Amino acid sequence: MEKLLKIAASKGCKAEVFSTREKSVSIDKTNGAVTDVSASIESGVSLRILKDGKMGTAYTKNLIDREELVANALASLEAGVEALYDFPDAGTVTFDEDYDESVEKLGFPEMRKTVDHLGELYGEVKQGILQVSAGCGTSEIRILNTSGSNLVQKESTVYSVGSMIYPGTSAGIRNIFLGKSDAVPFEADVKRTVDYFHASLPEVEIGDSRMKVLFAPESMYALTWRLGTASSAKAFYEKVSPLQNKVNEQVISPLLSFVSDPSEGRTGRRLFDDEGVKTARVPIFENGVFKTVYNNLDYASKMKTNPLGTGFRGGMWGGDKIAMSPAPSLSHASFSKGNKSFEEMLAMMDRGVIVYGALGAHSGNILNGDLSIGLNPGLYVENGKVVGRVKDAMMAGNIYEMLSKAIAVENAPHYTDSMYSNPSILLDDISVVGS
Amino acid sequence: MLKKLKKLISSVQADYVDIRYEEKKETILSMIGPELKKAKSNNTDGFVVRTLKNGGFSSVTVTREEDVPEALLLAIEGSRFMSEAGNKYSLASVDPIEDSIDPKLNGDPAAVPVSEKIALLAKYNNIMLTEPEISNTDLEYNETDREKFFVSSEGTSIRERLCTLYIKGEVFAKRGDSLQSVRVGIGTANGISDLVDRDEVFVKKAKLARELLTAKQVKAGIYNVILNPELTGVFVHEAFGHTSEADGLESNLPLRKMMKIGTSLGSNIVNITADSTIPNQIGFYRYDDEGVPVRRTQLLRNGVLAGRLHSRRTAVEFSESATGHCVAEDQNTEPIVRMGNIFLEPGEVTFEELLKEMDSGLYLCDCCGGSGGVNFNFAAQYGYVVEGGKIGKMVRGINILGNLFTTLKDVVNMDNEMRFSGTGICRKGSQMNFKSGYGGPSVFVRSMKIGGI
Repeated sequence: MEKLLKIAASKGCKAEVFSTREKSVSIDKTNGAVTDVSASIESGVSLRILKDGKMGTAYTKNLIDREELVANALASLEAGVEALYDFPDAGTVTFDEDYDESVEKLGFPEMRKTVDHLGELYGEVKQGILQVSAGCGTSEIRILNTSGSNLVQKESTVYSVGSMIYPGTSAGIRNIFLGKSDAVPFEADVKRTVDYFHASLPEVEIGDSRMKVLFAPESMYALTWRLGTASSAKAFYEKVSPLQNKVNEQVISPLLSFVSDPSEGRTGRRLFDDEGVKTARVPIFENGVFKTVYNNLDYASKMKTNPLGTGFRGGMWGGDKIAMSPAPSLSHASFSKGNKSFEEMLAMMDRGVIVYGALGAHSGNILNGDLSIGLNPGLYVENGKVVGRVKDAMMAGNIYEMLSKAIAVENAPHYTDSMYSNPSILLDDISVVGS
Repeated sequence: MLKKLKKLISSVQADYVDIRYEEKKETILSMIGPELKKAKSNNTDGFVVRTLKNGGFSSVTVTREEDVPEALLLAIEGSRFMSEAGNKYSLASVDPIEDSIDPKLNGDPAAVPVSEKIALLAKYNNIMLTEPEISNTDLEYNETDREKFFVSSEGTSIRERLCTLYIKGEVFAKRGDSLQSVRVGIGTANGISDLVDRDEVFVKKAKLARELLTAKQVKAGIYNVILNPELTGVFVHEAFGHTSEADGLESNLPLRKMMKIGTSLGSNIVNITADSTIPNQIGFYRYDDEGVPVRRTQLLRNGVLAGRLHSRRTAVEFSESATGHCVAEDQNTEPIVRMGNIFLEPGEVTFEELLKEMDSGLYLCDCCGGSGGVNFNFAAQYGYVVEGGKIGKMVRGINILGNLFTTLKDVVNMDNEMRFSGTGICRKGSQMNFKSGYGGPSVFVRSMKIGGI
């Protein structure tokens, strides 16, 4: 990497080398049978160069010819993409608190034990499909730049997932457990989810009405995508955000705080973002008040403000960190926990629905905050009890109006497949269109 | 390269082994508003190995050639592990093939300088930006040129080049606090000339974004609808196509029972076909990533289930034939069962006759997102109220919720004009497939649930 940086610098450029190395194995088991095992060993290098206010980029997964990579970046520079920033000097830092070396040695046998144990915990599930999976991996990100940064962030992750799919559908509910060394399932969480699964097996026709809606952590991305798109410096710079003149205004319920904090989490914490900027707690919404427009180096320079450590590689769907350029990102943001247990929130629902799966969450006018999703599944609640799952139901509205109707926030966050955790949020008086 | 791959797997002790090496050349250019935001061309590569031993089947992806021996050992370990877990997988038999395929391109993008591609992107971008009330654009040129080399222990040895191009993005119109966006895109697997002189597409979408500023929100309810060809294609792809992928069906026993070949699933005028052999469509390829020639596969004939999409492994599981639909996103991913092009076949009446037949309802056009399988939810980009068989006022904020089996039965008729999407991105698991084409005619469906914002 040092050689690559040197070659780029010898062409009169400021340069940044972003590299990754990842190893992983995984096992899937469906209805008691092992159905898939797979593994990967991957690496990659991305080069970004700056010269005369312009930027060039190039990447490769297989660094054989450094001169060719630099030549590709120089060719990209010729196109004239504007870049008014410089790379930060963050010194020499290695962050490996979320790295457990023993995970390197875990393989198929250990993951098999994990899925077998998980399968036993879900042993009562006899209807529909039971899928359990487990995996582990290690990764290392290194950022070197000509300003002096030499940053290494290592992490390990072990995860396990138990999913129960309703008969004849592809919709289900699940638990995800993860950590840097193990993925020990919380038995109480499993039991609760299994109970809800059984209680929600009957399909219920609910008609059209307004009711309480509880967003489970698994469906929270439908809300956070929209908040993230509107509060990004990209949307502000282009003057298309619905939050354009609303900094320090009350926009959503005072019960809700939505915060980017890469120092939080059971693993995958980050001291620096993918541009080498030190991360920090960035409140996007604090007690419902819109506080911060998050950015990256590029948009911070365009808007003449400081970078906030929220420049990450990857998009709405994740994506290849090596191939993608850094952009303003809320990949480490979540709602702050509240003061109600899940059971207390359920007891607050005289009539309502728990949204575990949001069908079509990426559709419609996301920037405006419009949301129209199929409840797939939506667990129907009457008098504080799950009594079935709604048949062919959808909800529609605008998230700013919806989130101003929050009446409770769960006191514990739960992991979802985005590897970030959220509490459940209970909303009042939401329009649900049923069958 | 094929010789090198043969050598790499020659000493592997397994019942079956294959290796795929892919070199990907990618050019990405993007503009946001008047500003060029990305301009990069990259070359990258990688390997995927798969082994079958004593009924255990596993795969490993690696980046570097020096890691291939370790990957093969890991794959063998995975196969052994699956075998010990009781799996008895086998692969449908296919004839060994030796072939080398280069697409017949109408303008090879590799021969076109990046500056010309930027000029093309900027031209379309400017066309939209100069329309009244257009406040912003977000447009990307993407060129993916993959050269794939596949070798198996059965003697198959294939090289195939696939070149996929698209220009797509969004155009935003703004008036006061009202902001509307419309998705726009053109694409091809047929060469860069197909992307030239397409001004009318971008003008139309910019005008549409502006019209949406004054369109009324649709009122939620149950409507008779006509889906335009793009929405028909999205329904066919998302709801029916994904449910026809055998790897998703095999463990879902209740759904598998419902999807038994010969079962009547829909109105007897509905015919759905998967066909990746159509050369000028974005989902075109000759061989899948198991070295199986892809074949036109009729999935639904006169409303009766006639076929499904398979890998070699799932074909054995269902006692059916391999169809050539086991495809990987790129050099970093193992192949899974996938659609290339899928479409609902056209009918006999004209669009005007279809409108008259519906009489009143909604005419829904284009798609701005959606997902699903048996249950689906799509957002229509825009729509029109239809009264007395005539198209009336524009409406927006339209989401369609439905169930595959109910919808197939509720198809009343379709017109005789079929169109393909030109672009298509499909996510399955962690893989994105940019070679996902879909299409169909305009289709009249009764009693669809429409949610308004």
